[in-house]
Parts: sequence; C-alpha cells; structure tokens
Amino acid sequence: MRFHSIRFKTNLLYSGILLIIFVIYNFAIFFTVKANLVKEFDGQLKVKADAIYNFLQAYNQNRRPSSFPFDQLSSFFREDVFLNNKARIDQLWRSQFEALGLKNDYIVVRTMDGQVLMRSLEQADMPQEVMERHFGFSPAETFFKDITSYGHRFRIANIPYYGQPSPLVVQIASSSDHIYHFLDKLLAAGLLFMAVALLFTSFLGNIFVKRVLAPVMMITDMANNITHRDLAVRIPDKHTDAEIRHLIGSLNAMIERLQMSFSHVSEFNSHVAHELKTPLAIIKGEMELMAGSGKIDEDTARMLSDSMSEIDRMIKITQDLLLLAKIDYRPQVLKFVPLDIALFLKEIYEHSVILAAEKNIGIKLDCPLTGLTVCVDKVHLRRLFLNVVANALRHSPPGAAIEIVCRREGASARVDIVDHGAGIPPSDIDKVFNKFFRGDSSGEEGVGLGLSIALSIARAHQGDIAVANTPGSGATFSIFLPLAA
Amino acid sequence: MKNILIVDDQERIRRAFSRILQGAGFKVMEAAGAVAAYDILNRNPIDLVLLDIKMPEVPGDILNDVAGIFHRNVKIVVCSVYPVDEQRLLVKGADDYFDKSDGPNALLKKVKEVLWTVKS
Repeated sequence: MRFHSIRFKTNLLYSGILLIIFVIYNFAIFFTVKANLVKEFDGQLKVKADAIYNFLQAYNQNRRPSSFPFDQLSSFFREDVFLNNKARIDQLWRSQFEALGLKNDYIVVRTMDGQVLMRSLEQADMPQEVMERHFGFSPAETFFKDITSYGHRFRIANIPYYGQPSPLVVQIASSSDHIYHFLDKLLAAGLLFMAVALLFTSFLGNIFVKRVLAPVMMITDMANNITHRDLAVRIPDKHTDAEIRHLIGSLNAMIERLQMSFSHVSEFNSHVAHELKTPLAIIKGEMELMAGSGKIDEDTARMLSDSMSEIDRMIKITQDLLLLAKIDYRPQVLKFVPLDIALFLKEIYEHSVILAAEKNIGIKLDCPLTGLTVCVDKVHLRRLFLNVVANALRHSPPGAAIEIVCRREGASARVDIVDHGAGIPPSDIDKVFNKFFRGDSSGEEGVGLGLSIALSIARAHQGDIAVANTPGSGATFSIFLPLAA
Repeated sequence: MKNILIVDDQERIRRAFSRILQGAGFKVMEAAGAVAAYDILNRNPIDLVLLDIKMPEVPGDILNDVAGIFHRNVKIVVCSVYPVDEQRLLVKGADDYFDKSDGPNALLKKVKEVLWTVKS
C-alpha cells in the first residue's frame, strides 16, 4: 500500500480518530478510578488512625497521666505486648488490630510538638529512618501523601487529634501497591483493547475501502487498455456507488463520442476512396481509349503512356492508404479463419516464382512444418507476404535468390524472407516500416507503403515483423504469427 | 450479339466503358440509376449488367433482389472503385467483381471472360 493513496489516507484518518478517542477515554477512566481508589484508601487510613487514637485515650484513662509510659511502648503495636495487659484494653486493641490489619502498617504517634511518643517495629520494606524522613509533620492539619520505599508505594496519613488530656498526632503509612497494581492492569487492558480494536478497524476499513475503490481500479484498467480497436466496450456500472457510477457514466459517454468520431473517420475514408478513385478511374478510362484510338502520334503516345503509369501509381497509393486506414481503424473487417501455414506458404511461393521470373530471381521455400495452423484473414495475410516478397524482389540484383524459411518458435510461426541485395543501411533500419519511406535503391518502383501495410496486417493478427541485415549481404524480414491453439 | 447494361451514376464512366465495349462489338445500354435500370431490364433481353455499388451504404443482399426481380440468366458484374476483395466480402453472389480503376481494357477482358464462362 502506497502512502499517497486514498486507501492509506482514509485508513490513517479513522485510525487516528479512533486512537485519539481511545487515549482520552483511557486516561479519563484511569484518573477517575485512581482518584476514587485513593479517596477510599484515605478513608481507611483515617479509620485506622481514629482507632489507634481511641485506644490510646482508653489506655491512658486507666493510668495516671504522669505515669503514661509512652516512651516504653515502642513495641506497642506488636500483638504479644498486649497479652498481659488489662483485659478490656487487650480485647479492644486485639479486635481493632485484627479488624484494621494494622500488623502490616507503620505507625508513628507524636506529641503536638513533633516528639515521637512511640512507633511500630521496623519491617523489611519500611525501615524507620526512611519512613520517618518522608513522613513530614503537621500538628495543625490532616494531610495525605504518597511515598516510595524499596520499590513499594505507601500512602501516608498525618492526622492530629486535639482531645484532652493528651492531644496527639497519629501518622500511619500503609502499602498502596494493590491500588497501583490494579491501575496498571486497568491501563494494560485498556491499551491491549485499544491495539486490538485499532488493528481490527484498520483491517476492516482496509477491506471496505478496497471494495469501495475496486471499481476505480477496474475503470483504470479498462481505460488503459482501450484503443480505437475496441471502442465498442462500455464500463459496466452495476453494483457501484453513486459517485463511481457518475464517473463511469462520463467515461462511457466519452468512449461513445470517440467511437462516433472513429466511425465518422472510417466512413470518411470510404467516401474519400470513392471521391478520389472515381475521377482517377475516369481519367484512366479516357486515356486508355485515347491510346487505343490510333489517332495520336508517337510523342503523344509516349506522354500518354507516362501519364497513365502515374495515374496507376496514384491509384495504387490511394488504395494502399485506404487499406492502411482500414486495418488500423476498422480491424473488425478482417475475417479470421484457421489456415495451414505450410499450404499457405506454398501458394505464396508459387505466386512469388511468377513475380520473380521477370528479374530472373530464384525463390526457395524451406518449410518442414506440417499441420501447424494459424488463425488469419487470408486475403490480407497474402497481401502481407506478397508485399514483403515484392520488397525483397525490388532490392535483389538479377540472378540472385530469395529464400522463404519457416520455423516454429515457441507459440509462433516465424517466416524469414531472406534476400541477397545490398542490405539496409544501419541508419535506415528503423525507418523501413515508416509510411512513404523509400530506400535509395528503390528507384521509381513502389510508393513506400508496402512494408507499413505488412506491419499493420501483422499487428492486426497479434503478430509482428522484425528486420535484420543478413550476415554477408541482404536483408531478412522475419514475420511472426501466433499459432492457433 | 450480347447486350450489356451499364448501371453507373457517373456519365463519364458510362461513356468510357460503353465506347470500349461497343468497339468490341457489344450492344451497350446505359442507366444512371435503379429506376432507369429496372425499365431497361424489363424491356430488353440483357445478358450482362455492370452494376456500380456505393459502399458502405449498399446492403449485402442487393443481388438477390436484382436476380429475383429480373431474368434469371442475366449475369452481374459488380463494378466499383473499391478493392475487389472488399466488394466480394460485401456483395455476395455476383458472377464477378471489377475495380473500375483498372481501366476500360481490363473491363473488356473481364466482360469477355464472364460472358464466355458457363454459369455453374
């Protein structure tokens, strides 16, 4: 898929839109969920801090204030410390301790001036020094914050209690890893879903755009392959969208106009034939009558004869041009039938022998092929071969020979017509098939259309003609005709 | 003596062909169009018609019409300025075809060939 294609751009557009929507949606979900989870977690911390404070107040009320042994209670939060304490406190604390899951939290209790009254035992991932460095302290306000210790995330709460007789600040740190694990999973699932959805829409969109654009590719192919030879074709507009149908309609209308123009051209050719050849036929008729009347002298007879050969030449040129126009613009007049190439070449050979006899030129036929057929219009194929043979004869010195050699070459029959004349100058070899091109030695014979006609006929048969100089001397014209299946 | 009808809208063509054929001893009649040709064919025993056609307007089965309406034994040579190959493809069933640009001498030769050939 190329970058400068409608397919790519369309795909990019809706994939991009979808991506933006997904990213915004994912972020919104992520932050909403996070905010809610953290708020809920903070609530839990507050509940824990309240419980601790209530317990301490209860504990304190069972002792005289002066002997409140906070400094000896570093291991206060360890379960076993309370086993021997008073039953009510013990019971209260044990129930709180279990219910709140305080065993895994790090707790510091301070006086209002920041002095540590007691703290939890250290645990592996929450050493006292690290934890307390991050805690911060405020006797005036409740605050929560996040810290990271040894790769774990903790949520810290700083909550002051102003109750008498002993106002306290309870600080509690609790692992918030589970929140972030959950958020990570949420994010990963969102991203995965986004990737899959993008791939899926891209895939479906690609197929859809391809289907939408398929008629465009078809139209392009057809437009590329249309020549004046098949202007009868129309692009089918079934099962296409309205916009494409408009395009097809316009193209079909254009092809129709072209077809009409071409049919006008071929009609015009037909009229030209009639209008040009009729006066030529009249002139020729009058001249022949004059020549045969016996009423003219020798000079006039010679001039008349010259004029008549010029008239014949004009008739020939007119006929050749019309034939070229016909083969090029109305190839449908050709009638293709299967033909045995060997038998056909034998006919060409026999005809060529008669033509060559005047110049005392020998013709050799070498065609070992049997049973190979080509699908051809015989009248025009005959014209092709006789034109090439006539060209060979024209360029052969008297007494030379011309060879007609036929071989099979892949799916084609190849017929070489080899002469032993002067050959073609390298500068002219590309021009021999041009209309009205005449080599130096052709003299007054020929009008320079014979080989153009031969090439046009060969092409109308899906064949070709190649020309090369024969090693030694002369030229070889190779005619290729596709064999019938 | 054989009777020949030349159907051609070009007067000069008729004149040139008529002179060469008369010179060879044929009795020649001329018609410039279909109506005149119909008239002559109805009144005269014609042996051969030189029929000019204007392609491509001419319908391919014109000769059936001609042969159906007129004498069965009349011979028809289609005679136009188009190449003989094309004439033969377009108008089927004529006794022969002639390219007018081949000239009166060639026409005389063709007329003699057609008249002395027994229709098979």
